[in-house]
Amino acid sequence: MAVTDLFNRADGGLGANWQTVDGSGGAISGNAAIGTEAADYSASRYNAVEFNADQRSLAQKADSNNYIGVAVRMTTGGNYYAFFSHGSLQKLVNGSQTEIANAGTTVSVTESMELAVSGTTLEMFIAGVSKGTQSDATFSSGKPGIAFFDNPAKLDNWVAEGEVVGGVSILRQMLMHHG
Amino acid sequence: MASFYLVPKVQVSTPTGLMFRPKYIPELGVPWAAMDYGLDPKFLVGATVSQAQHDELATHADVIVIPPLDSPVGGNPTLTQVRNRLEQENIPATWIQATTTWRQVVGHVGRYCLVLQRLHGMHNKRLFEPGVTLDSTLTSTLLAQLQSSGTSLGLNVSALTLSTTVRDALTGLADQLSAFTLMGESF
Repeated sequence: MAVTDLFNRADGGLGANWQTVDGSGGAISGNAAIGTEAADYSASRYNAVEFNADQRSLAQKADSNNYIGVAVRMTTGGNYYAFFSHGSLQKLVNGSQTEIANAGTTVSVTESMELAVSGTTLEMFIAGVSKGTQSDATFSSGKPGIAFFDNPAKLDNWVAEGEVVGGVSILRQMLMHHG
Repeated sequence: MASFYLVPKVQVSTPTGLMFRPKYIPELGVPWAAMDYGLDPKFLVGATVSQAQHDELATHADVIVIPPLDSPVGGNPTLTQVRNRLEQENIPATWIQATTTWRQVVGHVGRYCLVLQRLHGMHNKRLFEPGVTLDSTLTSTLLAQLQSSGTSLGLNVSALTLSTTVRDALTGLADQLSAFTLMGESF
């Protein structure tokens, strides 16, 4: 199971399932998600369900502009880890950004980009291929979502895993099912 | 294969605004990953550099080059130099012995980073504020912040008291953390 948002709806706000985490958050434009801040960060998290601390966020790069990101452990006030399409893994703490890794490559149009966190380990993926692991303990919990710098770039077809269902996380249910 | 360094944390202008980054490393254009020492201005960083890039990094006085990970630190004068250099950076190092490997050194430094990162994330707190050294004792505020940070990481914090030094608090918490990975290496 996973949470998905394909962003196929009218231009405007992301909707009630999303909560602004940084700047004015994301928005819908042309059946894709887009940033709302010129030359600044904007980010939103999926707030309709609860998530386990171990989670992943995946999306597809929808145009040739850079600086779109998938994010995990997002909390309000500008706190989250985000993997951006120019290969940069960043943590934003109270809106102050620190680059903590770079994959050394960028994401191409239509390729998927993904950020997973388990315990204190972060892993970046481009088109399903791992681009490296990283350790950081700044954030212990939060929800997955999307992040942007500037507002021309678009991402699409967002998927997240790690949601809690009936008090038991999906990841834990899978482990229990497989003994 | 990655090489590892301790480098200053600097704030620079980037296409995505002012950003804290490890000094020298992003400009190389190679894959890298770094762990910051919380809000203190240094990074433990691994990067897949060429020999020429490695040699160039080693020319900078503010870069500590980590030798091959599975080699021992060695005896004096190197041992004393390593201890003093790390302690100058507020990194506990008196525990290092001649037979200690560099992988063990990086492992300890990385675990200190994890504790200080959680202190940053939970309390927006810099451990080594002006006047605070490894041999300072904890203030009541810092004690409470380290206790909650340690508890958040699943650690036993019962040994922390107002008479605990910063050194002992940091090492006592970090030593309880399990292995971590950085640039494909396990520490």
